[in-house]
Amino acid sequence: MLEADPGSFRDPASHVVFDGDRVLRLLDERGARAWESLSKTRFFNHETQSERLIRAEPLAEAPDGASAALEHPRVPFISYPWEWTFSMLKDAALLHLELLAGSLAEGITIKDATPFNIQFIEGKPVFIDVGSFEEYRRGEPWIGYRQFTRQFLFPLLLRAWVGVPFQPWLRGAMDGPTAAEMRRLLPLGKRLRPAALLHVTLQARMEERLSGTAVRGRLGAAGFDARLILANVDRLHRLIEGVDWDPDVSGWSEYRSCGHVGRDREDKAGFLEAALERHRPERVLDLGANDAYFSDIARQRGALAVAIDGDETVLDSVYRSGSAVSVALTDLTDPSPAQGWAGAERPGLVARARPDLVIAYGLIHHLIYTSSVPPSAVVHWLASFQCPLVVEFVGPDDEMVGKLTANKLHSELHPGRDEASFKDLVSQRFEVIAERSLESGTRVLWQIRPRR
Amino acid sequence: MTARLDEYGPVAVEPAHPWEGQSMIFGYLDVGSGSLILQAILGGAAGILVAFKAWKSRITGKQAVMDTTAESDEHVIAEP
Repeated sequence: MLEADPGSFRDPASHVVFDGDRVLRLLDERGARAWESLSKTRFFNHETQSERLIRAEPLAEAPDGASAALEHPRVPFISYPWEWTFSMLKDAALLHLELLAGSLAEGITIKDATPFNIQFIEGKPVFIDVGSFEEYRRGEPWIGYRQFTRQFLFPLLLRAWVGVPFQPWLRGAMDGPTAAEMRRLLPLGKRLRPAALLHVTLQARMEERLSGTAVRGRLGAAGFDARLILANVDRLHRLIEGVDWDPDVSGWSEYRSCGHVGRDREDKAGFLEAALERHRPERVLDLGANDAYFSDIARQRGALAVAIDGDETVLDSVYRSGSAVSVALTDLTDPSPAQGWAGAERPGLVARARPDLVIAYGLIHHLIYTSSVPPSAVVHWLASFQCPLVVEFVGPDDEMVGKLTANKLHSELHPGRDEASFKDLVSQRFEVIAERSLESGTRVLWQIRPRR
Repeated sequence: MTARLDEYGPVAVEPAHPWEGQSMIFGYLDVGSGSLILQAILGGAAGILVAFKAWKSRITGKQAVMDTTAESDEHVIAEP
């Protein structure tokens, strides 16, 4: 029984379905013709071998209704641009431009330009939508240019030039800011830069003036050719290569230097390793991962490790270090929801992660004291993962809790915060398999699994 | 990341494969008329001339239009 990928429906020539764990791409006649052309190119062979383009193997027999079908390796963890850091979106943008230039050299183009076509596998961007490639016809402009500016360029400029994170914008509007919106967002000094004048102001004005005018055919007749696309791609590539984000020191980027972190790290690592040994998970979710130290231990044990954190500075640093840990930027008190068409096109973060072990070190006290989540709700949420967890509980007498509650009245705090009460709540839903007190005396680790 | 824009050599101005009579690149996207003309300008000096010609044909009504809406998916050359 084939199951449609809810995020793959816009292109009638190509869409993805699942056959159990297998990932198949079904092509109509047009898509099959495009695949035939792409698969013969040196570009395709080179880029799939370089693992910048996902592998695709044609099936001997296509399912009913399809002209051809391909099988792709499964992407271990799907993430979306609003969960990416600046460097991830930048690398994805550069990859897209490089693949477009490479394919054009052999008479192939990419018909859209969305970050959803790119995924990060073992810390490297990989273009996954083989169905986006199609034969280039002389005279055709780059159909994806506007989409590229809205979903790659403008979000990057928003962060680099305006200092505003792009993730909330992309999460709120998946198509990204329009040129007109971007023009209003840019401060005057930035608006006068040549790149802004061309890609933002001029695009906004021309969109306004020419809306609804048939120009696609006129361009071909006027002599448009692929060299003009390449010149634009080259210009964009240089622009994006030069765009940088210089993150401020965040509240979490110096976390590693906190006294308790260094003191407890080896104990926590040993405790995690015992849990990994017992459960042998394939997919580990590290909540509040910070520098992904514990995620990396899970990865070294052969698991797919996903490091989730709400701090872009620390996750960007993990990504830039070349770590093979998958990262996802999200605030755990407001994680990425299911969204897009019919509320199903882009599933929520937890549904995509499908963990079989969860790490929650140094997290619970922040949920309780910083975000004011009642302890009972925290336990309920931990149970929703339906898998074993290793958690760190931090008692009310801990130095860090003292800082978090420095300006809170006792009456403003939820009950159930002391170790005995919290353990009671945990025991109602979980079986405690292992327990270890940390040196501080105010912190304890639990390995727990849901009661059957 | 190192720029790898020219790894595959010069761009094929004439497509490597002759797809005469076949369809245009399939635009399931809303491409935006202004963004299309802008692309010519972004292509440099040669492109500005192309943009001017395309712009002029819009004003004068003289054009050779590839009809992207035709059911047949084939180019329709119109000389009004």
